[in-house]
Amino acid sequence: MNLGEFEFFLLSASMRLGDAAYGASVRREIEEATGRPCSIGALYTTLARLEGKGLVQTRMGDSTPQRGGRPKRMIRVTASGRRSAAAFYQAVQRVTSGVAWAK
Amino acid sequence: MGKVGWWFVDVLSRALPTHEALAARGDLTESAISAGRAVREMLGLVLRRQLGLWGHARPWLALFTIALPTGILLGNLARYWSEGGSAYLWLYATGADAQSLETTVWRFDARQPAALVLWLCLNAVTLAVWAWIAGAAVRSMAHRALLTVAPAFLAALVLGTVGTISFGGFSDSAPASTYLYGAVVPALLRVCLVALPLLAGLMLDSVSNIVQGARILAALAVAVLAVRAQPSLEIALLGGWTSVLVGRGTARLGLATLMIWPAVYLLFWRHVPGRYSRAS
Repeated sequence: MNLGEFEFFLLSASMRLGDAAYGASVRREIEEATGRPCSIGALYTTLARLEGKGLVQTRMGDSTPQRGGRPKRMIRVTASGRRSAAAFYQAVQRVTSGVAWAK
Repeated sequence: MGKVGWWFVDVLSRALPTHEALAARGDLTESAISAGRAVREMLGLVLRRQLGLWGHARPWLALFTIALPTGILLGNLARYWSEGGSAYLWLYATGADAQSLETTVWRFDARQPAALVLWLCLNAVTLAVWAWIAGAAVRSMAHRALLTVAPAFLAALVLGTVGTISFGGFSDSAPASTYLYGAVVPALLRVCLVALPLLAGLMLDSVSNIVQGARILAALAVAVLAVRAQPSLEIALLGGWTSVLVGRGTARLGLATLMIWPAVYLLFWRHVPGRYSRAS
């Protein structure tokens, strides 16, 4: 399944975080990795789109005092999501092969 | 900005599904950002979600079959009747002679107090019920897109009379020359009999548990009120650009259909299952 750039970032950040992947942590991960701000609007609408495509699954998790007692939305990348992210990454590698900035 | 900003974030989050509102609100709290930025972030999420809903048919259906047409019709009828109500109130509050309304369409009822009271009560009921039913139908049809459909409804209600002429002779009558009866009372009547019932219909889920028998009675009542309001509605629409709505005889059937459609949808049609209706 075709992915957009931000969808790939979200899948990668969620994979890296594993069981600790939820809205705020994925957002931090993307911001630190890209050096660009990640709005909560972009995050949640993309998450809904990925869930609709069957590339991630979400569930409501625990609440913590730091969150004002509100629950986290936990994210898990599905097998289909892993395949799509891998295909996207391989495509990027192929298309940048031999390009100056990829060396 | 602090507390007010976070309160506004909570208000905005109500436009989201509950689980997403809680998670997003929690993420913003955990991020320890300023209230101003939290407002911008939540507003961005809500707007993205609202725009996404317009990919479904229901918000468009709610906008073009109820919000815009009913807003325009209701706005014009409310102006016409509220001016009549204000003229009568002026007549009895000041003790003026019924002849004072001789140049208006309300000159006949002014001579018959009993008929006048009945006229005013029926008008009030018709406007309030129609506005409430239309608001509830829009809420039922496009619940999640209310944040964008409801302002359009209110805009049609207010702007639907722009560029039109007030019929009935009110503007040339004695009560119209006073600020109280020429402007304040008509505006108050429109707010109380249309705007408030409309907002109640839009905001309260008050019809979901009505039993089938009551639904049929309610639909019949709305149909009777619509038929009764038809002549007044045609007069109210005669001035300015809205005259095109009653320019031909066949348009009358369209007007009647538009008036009754919210009740038909609300009381019967909405129970037809659909993916978006259940999701909303």
